[in-house]
Amino acid sequence: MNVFGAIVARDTRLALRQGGGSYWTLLFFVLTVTMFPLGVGPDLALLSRIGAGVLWVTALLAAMLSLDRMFQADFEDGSLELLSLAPLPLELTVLAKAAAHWLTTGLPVTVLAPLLALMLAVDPAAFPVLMLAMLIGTPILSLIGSIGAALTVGIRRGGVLLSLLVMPLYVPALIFGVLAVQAALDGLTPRPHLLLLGADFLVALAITPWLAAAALRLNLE
Amino acid sequence: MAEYFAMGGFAWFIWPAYVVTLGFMLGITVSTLRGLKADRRTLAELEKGAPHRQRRQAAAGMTAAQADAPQGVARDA
Amino acid sequence: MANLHWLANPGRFLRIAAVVLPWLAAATAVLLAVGLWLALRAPQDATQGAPAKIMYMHVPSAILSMTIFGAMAFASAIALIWRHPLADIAAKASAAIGAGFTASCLITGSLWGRPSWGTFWVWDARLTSELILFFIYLGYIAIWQAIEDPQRASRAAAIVALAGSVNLPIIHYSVVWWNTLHQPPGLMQGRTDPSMAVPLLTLMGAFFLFYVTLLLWRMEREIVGRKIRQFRLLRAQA
Repeated sequence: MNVFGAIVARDTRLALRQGGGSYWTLLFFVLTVTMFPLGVGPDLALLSRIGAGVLWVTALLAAMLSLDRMFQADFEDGSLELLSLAPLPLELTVLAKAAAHWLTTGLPVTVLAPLLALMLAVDPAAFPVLMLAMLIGTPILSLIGSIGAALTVGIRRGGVLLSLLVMPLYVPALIFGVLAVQAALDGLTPRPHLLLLGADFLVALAITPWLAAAALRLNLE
Repeated sequence: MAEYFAMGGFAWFIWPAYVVTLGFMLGITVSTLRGLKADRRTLAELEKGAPHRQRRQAAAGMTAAQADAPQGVARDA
Repeated sequence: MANLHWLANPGRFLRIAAVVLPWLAAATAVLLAVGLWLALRAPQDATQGAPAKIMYMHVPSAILSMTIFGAMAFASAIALIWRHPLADIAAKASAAIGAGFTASCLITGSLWGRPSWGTFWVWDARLTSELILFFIYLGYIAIWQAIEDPQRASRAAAIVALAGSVNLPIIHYSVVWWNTLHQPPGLMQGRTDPSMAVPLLTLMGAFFLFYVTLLLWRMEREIVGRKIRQFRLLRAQA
């Protein structure tokens, strides 16, 4: 468990360091959300209707954009090989790296989401649900993303391929996440959507470490 | 007959559906068989020129494709 | 499991395929011809009219697109767990067929949608799931192309197929859930008349036989291709 915590701490520190990429991801998130009102017009009624969807799709893109740094640097300088020889099973190493990825992308995006939702004229009454949904949903993005990141780690310019592989698998998180916010906005209970989102998270948590570790092993041979 | 093919005015939706599906099936069959034929010819030429030992190794490499150790090539080296 | 290993020898596989293939191909052709004949002279659907004839292409394509992905995921699991040498060849050989049927399902669906909905595309639950399935097929094919060494590519692709197969039911369920909350109409409402069921089942059988036939041909091609690759490697070594 010590090693697990050490990997999480190290990766988080590296991402937060100047030039580590975490800030850029957040900046990308804010910038892309800003593009939507410019694209569809400043009509507040329209923006409030699509606001939740815009935030979720953008969060998805931001998470995806930063996935390649999950294993790439460690793969290139050989530290991934060392990590695979460490007493910690590779499955848990993958989990630690996904956790660090979430801490430096999913979590800040969740914190920023209400601010941007305000700019998109989303009713503040739905903010707690929005944040709760993102809190449950963004770890799914990091977990499923770890499979894609592990598969493409040895492929030159694998970034586009990575998004092609990962994006279809993000569909359930996107749907349940947006529907929860939508239900709250319509004055309905978001509970079933949040529960389904939670179920999707548990499935991702149970399955992705095995697949991602298998993918890493094949790239380390 | 012409009336049948007009499909009650829906000919432009119905026949393209058949053309797309059956066209795909025909297309992929033709391309697979052509490729197979070409590949068989290439393999036959390679086998003709190769010594017996090499031929066996190529076949072994194929069978052991999933084995962990690099096959054929390594033995040859 | 014993049978699986008995079939694992590519040489034996090729000999069996050579015996079976002519019969399979002939059966496919006959069943396809009979199915088409039955479909084209079947009575028109009372409620949906002539456009329902598209069903005979759309439904078998849809079923095959899903069956083939299931077969690919199964073969991938066998390839990954038991390192069965033919399983990854079967999975790879299936992908293009499955992607083609998925595309055919989408195109025929939108051609059917135009007369029934008034637009070529509606975000109907089944069409949307099918579209996402198509993207997963493309990802699977892309990873085979991205990694040059067939051994490593096969394992990477198997992981993609397994991740896809685990997620597909969840994706389908989430899309249905999303869709029922937005309430658009679906294709094929109501029951199918028996006069349409016979041609439909015949065509499904024909499409399935087509898949098996083509799969064997494509597997043979892959085996020959790998032998060629092996030869070239040996040659470069010498």
